[in-house]
Amino acid sequence: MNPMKDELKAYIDGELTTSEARTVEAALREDPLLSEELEQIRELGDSIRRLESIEVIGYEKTLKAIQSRRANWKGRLGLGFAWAGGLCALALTLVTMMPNQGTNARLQATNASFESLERAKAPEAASASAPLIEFSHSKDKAVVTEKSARYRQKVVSAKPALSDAKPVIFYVSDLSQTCERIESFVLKSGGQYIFRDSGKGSPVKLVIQLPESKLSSMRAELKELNIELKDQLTSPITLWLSSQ
Amino acid sequence: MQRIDEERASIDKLVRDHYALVYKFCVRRIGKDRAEDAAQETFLTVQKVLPKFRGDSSVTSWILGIAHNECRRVCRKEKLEPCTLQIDVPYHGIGERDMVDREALRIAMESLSPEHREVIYLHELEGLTYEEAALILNVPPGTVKSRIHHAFQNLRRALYPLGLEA
Repeated sequence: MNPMKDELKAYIDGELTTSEARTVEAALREDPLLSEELEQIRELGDSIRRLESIEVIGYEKTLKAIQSRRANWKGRLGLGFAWAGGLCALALTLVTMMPNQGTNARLQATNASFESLERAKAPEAASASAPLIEFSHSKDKAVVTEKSARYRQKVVSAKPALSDAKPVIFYVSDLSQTCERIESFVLKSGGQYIFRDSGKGSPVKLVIQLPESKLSSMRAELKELNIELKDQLTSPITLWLSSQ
Repeated sequence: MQRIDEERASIDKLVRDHYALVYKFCVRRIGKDRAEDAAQETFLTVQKVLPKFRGDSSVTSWILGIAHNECRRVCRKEKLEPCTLQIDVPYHGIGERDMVDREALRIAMESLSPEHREVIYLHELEGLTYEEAALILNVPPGTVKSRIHHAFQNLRRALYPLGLEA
């Protein structure tokens, strides 16, 4: 049996490299049976493509469904702006109330360094167009993803004043003003930190807002920490409670 | 506003250019009854995730990847067996011999393993390259090449039992 037989289909499909195709062509010139087989495979492919006849239906219906969803999004966008306004007002109220909460006592008890939410506000991080980076880690993996999604959950209560990249303990206050302990990394490149804990046992998420100028140093730092940076930023964050 | 307009134009164009391909893709895998809904769901997903498409693969293979996942979801949900080719044999302008050949080929296609049938669909009917088919099936391109070769061997064995081993 000619060993080139196994390559005939890939040759017909143009899936061989130039040198592989030349080898097949040389074999075809020398072996008439191989040429016959090539033709048979080619004809079989043609027959398969002629075999079915499917009438296409549903095109208009799909277009309408897409347009309808688009219209729904517009409506939700308007509602979203209304919610955003309300949430921002709530966040401002929270900011002013924060120093008086029991949070401070718990922070002192663990000897961790924190600043209040107001002090944590970095002017360069307050820009609404700054990139949003989401960090998540569970027991055996850590992933950082640049996100375009709207952030809408919790407000950070403090920012660690540590300068080196070590796991530290953070306290997080959400809109209901409960505190949760979360272990995470401190990044040397700075920025403003927001945490989101989706529940006991699930991965902890850290959302960091950084100005463009700090992104490259953060990427280098994440690499040093063996944290994988996934995806590229597609659009800026649209709602940023802690920077209000 | 310009970006929204661009996205709108873009999704409309994607539906226009790929609907027939996606619909047929779905018919082959889950049958005519469910294909229309699955094709629609595919494009609603495309609309949703379009801003995240980074061009790592061709648009066609990206959309068919989404259709593939949708068909798998339907199969799981409704506990479907993999479908066979949907062949509507036209009765005019076709000779008796052709009818027999087509029927023989249809039976031969049905006798293929699901893996072999899938690569035939992706490559011969949906026009994907080995690499694009590999991306959808999540296997190396070499595996697609090997599966297509063996699928054709099996088809020829079924259709030309005397000629193949010559």
